[in-house]
Amino acid sequence: MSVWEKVEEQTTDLINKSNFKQCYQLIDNYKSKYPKSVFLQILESYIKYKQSPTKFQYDTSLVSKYDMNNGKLYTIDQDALGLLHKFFFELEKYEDALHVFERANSRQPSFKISYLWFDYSLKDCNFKHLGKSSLQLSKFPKDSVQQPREYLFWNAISTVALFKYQNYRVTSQEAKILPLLTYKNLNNLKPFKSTQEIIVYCTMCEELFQGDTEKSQEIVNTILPQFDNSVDLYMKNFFLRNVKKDNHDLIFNTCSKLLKSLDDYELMKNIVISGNALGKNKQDLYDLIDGLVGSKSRNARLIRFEIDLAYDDKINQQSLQYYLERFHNRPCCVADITHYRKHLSDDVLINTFASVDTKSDLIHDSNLFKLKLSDVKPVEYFNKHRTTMKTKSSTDYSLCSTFILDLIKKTVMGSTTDLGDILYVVSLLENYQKEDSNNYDTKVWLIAMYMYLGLTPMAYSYYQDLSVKNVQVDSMDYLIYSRYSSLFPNKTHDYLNKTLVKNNALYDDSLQRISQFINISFDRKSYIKILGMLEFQNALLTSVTRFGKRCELMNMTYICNDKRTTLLESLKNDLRQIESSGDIKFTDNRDWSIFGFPEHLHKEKLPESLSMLYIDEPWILYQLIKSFMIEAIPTGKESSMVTRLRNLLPKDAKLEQHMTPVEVMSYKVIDDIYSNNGDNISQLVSEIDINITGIASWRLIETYLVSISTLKTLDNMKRIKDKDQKALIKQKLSGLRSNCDDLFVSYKSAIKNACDNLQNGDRHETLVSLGYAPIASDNLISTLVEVQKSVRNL
Amino acid sequence: MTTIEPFEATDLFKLNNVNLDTLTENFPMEFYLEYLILWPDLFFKSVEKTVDTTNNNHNISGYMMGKTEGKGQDWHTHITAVTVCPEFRRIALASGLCNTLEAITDSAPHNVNFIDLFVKCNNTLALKLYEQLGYDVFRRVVGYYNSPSDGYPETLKKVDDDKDAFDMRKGMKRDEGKSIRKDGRKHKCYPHDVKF
Repeated sequence: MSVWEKVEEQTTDLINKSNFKQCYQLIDNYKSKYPKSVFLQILESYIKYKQSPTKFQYDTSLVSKYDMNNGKLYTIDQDALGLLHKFFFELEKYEDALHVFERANSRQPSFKISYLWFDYSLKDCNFKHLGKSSLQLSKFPKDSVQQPREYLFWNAISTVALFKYQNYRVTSQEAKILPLLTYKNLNNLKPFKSTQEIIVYCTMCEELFQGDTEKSQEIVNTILPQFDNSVDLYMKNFFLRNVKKDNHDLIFNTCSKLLKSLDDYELMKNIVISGNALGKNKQDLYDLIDGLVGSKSRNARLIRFEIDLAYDDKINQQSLQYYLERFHNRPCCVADITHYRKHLSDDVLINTFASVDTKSDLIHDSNLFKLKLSDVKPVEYFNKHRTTMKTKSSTDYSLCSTFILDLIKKTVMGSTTDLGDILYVVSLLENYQKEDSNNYDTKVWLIAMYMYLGLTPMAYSYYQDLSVKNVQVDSMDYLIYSRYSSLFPNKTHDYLNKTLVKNNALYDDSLQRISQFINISFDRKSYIKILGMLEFQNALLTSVTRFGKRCELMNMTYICNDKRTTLLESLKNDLRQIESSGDIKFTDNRDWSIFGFPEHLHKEKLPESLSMLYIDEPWILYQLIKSFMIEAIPTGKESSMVTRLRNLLPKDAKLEQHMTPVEVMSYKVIDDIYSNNGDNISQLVSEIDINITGIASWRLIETYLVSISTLKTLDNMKRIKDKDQKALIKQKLSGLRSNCDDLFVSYKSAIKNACDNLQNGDRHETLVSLGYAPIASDNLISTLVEVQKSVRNL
Repeated sequence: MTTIEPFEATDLFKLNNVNLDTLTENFPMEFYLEYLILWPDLFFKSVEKTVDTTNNNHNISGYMMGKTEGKGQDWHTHITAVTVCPEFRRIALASGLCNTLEAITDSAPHNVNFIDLFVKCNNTLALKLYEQLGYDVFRRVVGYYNSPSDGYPETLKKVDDDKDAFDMRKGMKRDEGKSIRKDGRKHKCYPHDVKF
């Protein structure tokens, strides 16, 4: 650690403690030793800014002398450059933050400064600066570790990334010049020395010269010799994407050659199209493909459907038979047949399925059932095959879940669902899970149903069985951590103090390391995955799950009266990180397909049974705006962050479309104080319902907790000075708290009644016919008591 | 219908149908990135073209993570992970992924001498699959799957099918049978012997 790094660390600590006096003393001390230090001058300016951001005079301050429009100063001191970057970044002047390196390098070019510029550009995900800096790197052959040619490949990737992901940064002049320059630079490096270099060249031609047939031909010419002695999946794709579609000889011969090594459907499909155009007959194609990949291959059997469609414009029964005789009782059959369903009549399918099988095993029946080719009821099928669950290996999955999931779909996929529906589904799933404990298709539904009931500890217990970890966290954690502050804000439970913390390491640690990995890729000349890694980094950086959790963490501070300064700072930093690479936009990596039923389940319109998971981009924006409004209210000034975030909301966005009723109420209350000086606050607070009745789901707990949280936030606001208003807030708060137990009593009673109702009627009959016992209320109620205990003292 | 495609970092978001399987290891992000960087062409996926992706992101049916290592005669491909989701099992997809890896690394620029993998001695199903693909047991690695509480094996005499691994190998033509032993099951070694 350099002297200046130490000083910066010390001052950061002092700033965090608001000990500015000592900060200045420290600076003075060092200034007496290093009176000309640029670093110290900038640091002093930074401290002034941190001490009083609103009074900070940007135009006359030192930092303004370094900005890209008016600045005339530059420095080549690496620590000073790093500090300037940090300073400009916090001032949300992202271009200036990188421009300091550009100017330093233009005045006193060096490998060190260029590399620093490249490094910071990569961290900021600014691909324009990445391109400029990489080009500079190639100009110092004596100082650099790599040969200049390597930096031209770095530059090509950076330019492709710029055009592919940040096209809005490209000026019309750059749009003309940069592709030509990159193309020229790489062409000068021929012959290429490795597969990596060839792939960068082809990627550059594809991405920067879209629709250019000459470049496509160049790609094909570059790729073709490679097929003589190597097999590469990227090369395969470049060939298939760029070969002239009417060059049937070349397509037929090259794909046939590759098919010897790769059992690949895309290759087969191209062989069929070109084979047809070349006048080959169907038998020629059968023989060729079977000869290359074997007649047992699924691809080889399915391709006969494509051959039929190419030659006869319909799928022949013989081809269907040929496929089904081997795959009628394989789970893939459903996806395959569904894909070709419009070319196959139900009668042909039913007859052919019947002709290839006499045993009707579980997978065969499950396939027929999923393809809706059977009238047999799910319960009947389940009972026919239930004994197979006893003989299967414990780590295998049973397709008996098909029939149980069908019952679930019919019960809880609609827009209305009542407690009885949910408890019936829980009964089915709890019983099923005992016999097929590793089946995650059913387990995710069980988790969701407990979350719907607001019984987070039970959902959490099953969620742990799934061992969700690492990157998986980002696509799966929404199942139990959506709205966690208003469902189970128990800070001492493993749910929050262990698993949530552990899972968040993905964002707190791993995400921060991705740019290092990308840097290593450049250094090791491992180029081809860089674009994917940049996309991955962005998807994680802007993840809906990540920001959903960040918002919930903020909400926890309101409900628990915790300090929030550090959290808000970190939230601002997260948003700046996104903003520096473009607009604030979120990426939804959540895996909704895990619930199955893709034709019925759409994240924009979730069924009531999954309503607690409904969180979208505007929801996140509203939560962020609310947090920044709460932060700005004591200052009485407008928050630029609030204004910027509000501008990102869809023009026709309505609060009610994106938030629950109580979330809307909470937002309106805070917005009124921020925007209207609290003119309507009495009215809005008086409308808060403290007798929440008639709700028997997660919404009861959520309504109670968001109301409490809002009232507590208001109660702590010094801005509200009116005595009547203050009294009203306190009165509502105390009324709500004293009703807490009663709300839970009524919910417990509703659960008890709904469980009792499962002891008779049609659903009872179904459960009995499956050999299942209706769910007992005891466990559910004891878990509700656990939730109640964590809620009542807030 | 399956096509084999290079694995990209963004695919890590779309693996739940594969990685939620109780026997499939879900590695840290850094491990996947390391493989993407060091052996970019040996990390690939099988993609199902018949899956309608309009409202379903589960079209990756399996993946292969491989690496090359060793020097001289020991220059070889190692299969680190090969896995297939339940919906696309029992259709020889794992074999297809292994064959693809073989095709890639038996050619330039890799030109390996053999491919190896480790399999638990009691995993008879996997053993059978690999034998069908042409792999033979080269040696038994005693205590390869030992937990920290089991400690490092002190002797080669104490064997346990649940803790030991078979190091299985398939020789390429250029290897001229040097990596094949008919009596491989009788040869034992320590876990440190299989580090290259």
